[in-house]
Amino acid sequence: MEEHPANPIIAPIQTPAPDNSGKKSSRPVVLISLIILIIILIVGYKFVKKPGNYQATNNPVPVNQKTVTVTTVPPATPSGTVVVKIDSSDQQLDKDLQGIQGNLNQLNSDQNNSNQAIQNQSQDTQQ
Amino acid sequence: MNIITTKKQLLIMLGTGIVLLSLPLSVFAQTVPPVQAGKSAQRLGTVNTNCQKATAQRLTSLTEVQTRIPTLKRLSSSQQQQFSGEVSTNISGIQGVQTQCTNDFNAGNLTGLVADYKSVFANYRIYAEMLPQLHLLIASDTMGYTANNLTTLYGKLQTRVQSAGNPSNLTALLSDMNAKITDAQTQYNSVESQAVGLTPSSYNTNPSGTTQIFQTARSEIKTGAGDLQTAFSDAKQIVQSIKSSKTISPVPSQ
Repeated sequence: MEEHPANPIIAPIQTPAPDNSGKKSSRPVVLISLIILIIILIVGYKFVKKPGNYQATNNPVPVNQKTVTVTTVPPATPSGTVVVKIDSSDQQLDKDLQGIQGNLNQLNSDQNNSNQAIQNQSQDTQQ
Repeated sequence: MNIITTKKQLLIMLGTGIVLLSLPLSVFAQTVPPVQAGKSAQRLGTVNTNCQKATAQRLTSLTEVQTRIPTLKRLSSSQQQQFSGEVSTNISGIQGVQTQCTNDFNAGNLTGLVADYKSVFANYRIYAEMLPQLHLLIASDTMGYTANNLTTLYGKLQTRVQSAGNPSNLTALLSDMNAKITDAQTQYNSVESQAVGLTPSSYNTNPSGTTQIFQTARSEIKTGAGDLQTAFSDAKQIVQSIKSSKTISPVPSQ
C-alpha cells in the first residue's frame, strides 16, 4: 500500500462551511413579500365585498377573475294607508238591500205556494 | 068422519107445506146477507178511508195557512180576524165531518158515510176556493210590503243621486226602478181586489169563473214579482255606483 506523503499541495479537499450569511439576507424579502401579499388580499377582499362596483361586461372573463352573480333588489314599495270612508248612510243602504232581499225570498216562497194551491184545485173539482 | 079426517089431513099437509116452503126462504135469508154484508163492509171501509184522508189533508193545509194570517202586514186587523175566523170555522167543520165519518163507519151507516164524505168537497171547497184565495192574498201581501220597502229605498237613493249631480246612468236606473215598483203595485192591488171577496159559494155558483180569477191572479203575481226583482236589481246597481265613487286613492305614508 502506498501512502501519500504529507503534501500541502495535495491537501485533502475540505468541504466549505455552510454560509449562513445568504439565508439571513433573504428573510426580510420573504417577510415583506408575505406582508404585501396579505395586504393585497385584504384590500382585494374588501374591494370584492363592496357592492355596486361591478359593471356588466361582455368581455370574456379573465382566468384570474371569477364570475359573481349580483342580484338586484327592487326598490321597496312605499308603504301607505288606503283611506276608505265608511259612511253610516252607506251601511244603512246595505241593510235596506238585505232586508228587501229577504222580502223577495219570502215572495218567491209565497208565489210557489199559491201556484201549488191553484194546481190542487182539481182535488175538489173532481168530486 | 072421513071428511073430517080429510080436512085435518089437508090442514096438516097445508101447514107442513107452508113450513117446508118457508124453510128454504129462511135458509136463503141466512145465506145471502153475509155476502151483502161483506160488500157493504168493504164499501164502508173504503169510503171511511177516503173520508179520513180527505179531512186530514185539509186540516193540515188549513192549519199551515192559519199560522201565516197573523203575520200579514198589509191586511187590516179586521181582515186578518175575518180570514182567521173563516179558517177556524172550516177547521172545526172539517173536524166535525171527520168525527161523523168515524161514527157512521162504526154504525155501519153507509148512506150517512157517503153523505159525510161528499160534504167535505161540496160544503167546504177547501182546495177549490179557500186555499187558492188565501195563498194568493198572502203572496200579494208580501208583494205589497216588499214594494213599500223598495219605495222607501227609492227615496233615499234619489237623494243620493241628486247629491252626486244626477249622473245619467243613475237617473235612468232610478226611473226604471220607480216604474217597476209602480207596476208591481198595480198587479197586487188587482189580485187583492179580485180574490178578497171570493167564498166557497162563489165556486159552487160559478166554478169556471172562480178558477179564471185564480189563473189571472196567478199571472199578476208572477208579473209583479218580476217587477220587484228588476227594481231590486236597479237599486243594487245604484248603491254599488254610489259606494264606488267614494273610494279614495292610496296615500303613501311619509
